Amino acid sequence: MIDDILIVDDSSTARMITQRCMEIAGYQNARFHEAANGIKALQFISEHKVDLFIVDLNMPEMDGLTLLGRLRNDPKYKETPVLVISSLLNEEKESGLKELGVFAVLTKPISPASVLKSMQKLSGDTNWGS
Amino acid sequence: MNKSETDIRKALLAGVTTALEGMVFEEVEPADTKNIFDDFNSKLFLVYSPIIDPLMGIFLLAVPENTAKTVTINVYGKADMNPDKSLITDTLKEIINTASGCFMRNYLGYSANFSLGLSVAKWGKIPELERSLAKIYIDLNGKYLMVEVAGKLDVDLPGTKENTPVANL
Repeated sequence: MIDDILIVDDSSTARMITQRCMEIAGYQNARFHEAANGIKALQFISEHKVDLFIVDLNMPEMDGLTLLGRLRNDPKYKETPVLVISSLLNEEKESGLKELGVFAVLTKPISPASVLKSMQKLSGDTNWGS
Repeated sequence: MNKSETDIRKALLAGVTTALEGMVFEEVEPADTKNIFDDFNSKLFLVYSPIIDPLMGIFLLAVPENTAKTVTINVYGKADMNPDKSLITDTLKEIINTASGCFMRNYLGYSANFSLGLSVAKWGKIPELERSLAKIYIDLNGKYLMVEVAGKLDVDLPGTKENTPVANL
């Protein structure tokens, strides 16, 4: 059950777009939280629970890859699903991210349809639109 | 890989079109530049996205204030909002970040590795970029913006980082 979603992106516009796409994709009842970089995300999870991370890669102070490494070394969050949304993706990065347990990657610009398709990988539900 | 200016222009137009149509929800067309130069003679929002690896360059988005406001309102989908400069800048940075990623994948292919730096925004007149490779004016439903890519974009010539284009950031 995904109740609390943390969107980590240095752009407030990107965070808004991501939340809107998630809501249209069926997560309108989830609680959305925001962090502007990896350090702020780690501060947030030290005090709150998170069921799903949505992470950008290119951020100041602590980037998404470093954050992902920290999450995977944290017993509390090593199994928590992570969706990466970035403009920097390519085959090699995508493959590396999947080795780190990222269940899906999305290149920007995202849409409700692309987000829904990714989230269906997490739920194992491939019945489009159900 | 030696690519022509035409390849760069195609990759640039495709990248910007993907980003703008996906975020602003407006049809994107190359602009007829005959009547729009006045829009670009005054101060504008200038947003730079540095290309770091495997080649050195810079991506510039130049947007007149009224167009920038309209673009921000469209991205947020709130017709009655009055975005401040901070929100406009954040939106334009996200657009150029998305467009430059699309451009790099179009230009190099999805298998190629690349890195982009963090975007930087300024308010000012359009600079003369050294080693300009392609400049395109975009018509966004009657509003205009400009995108330009400059630098050393030949991946057969690594080690030219000292030749980074100068944008006076």
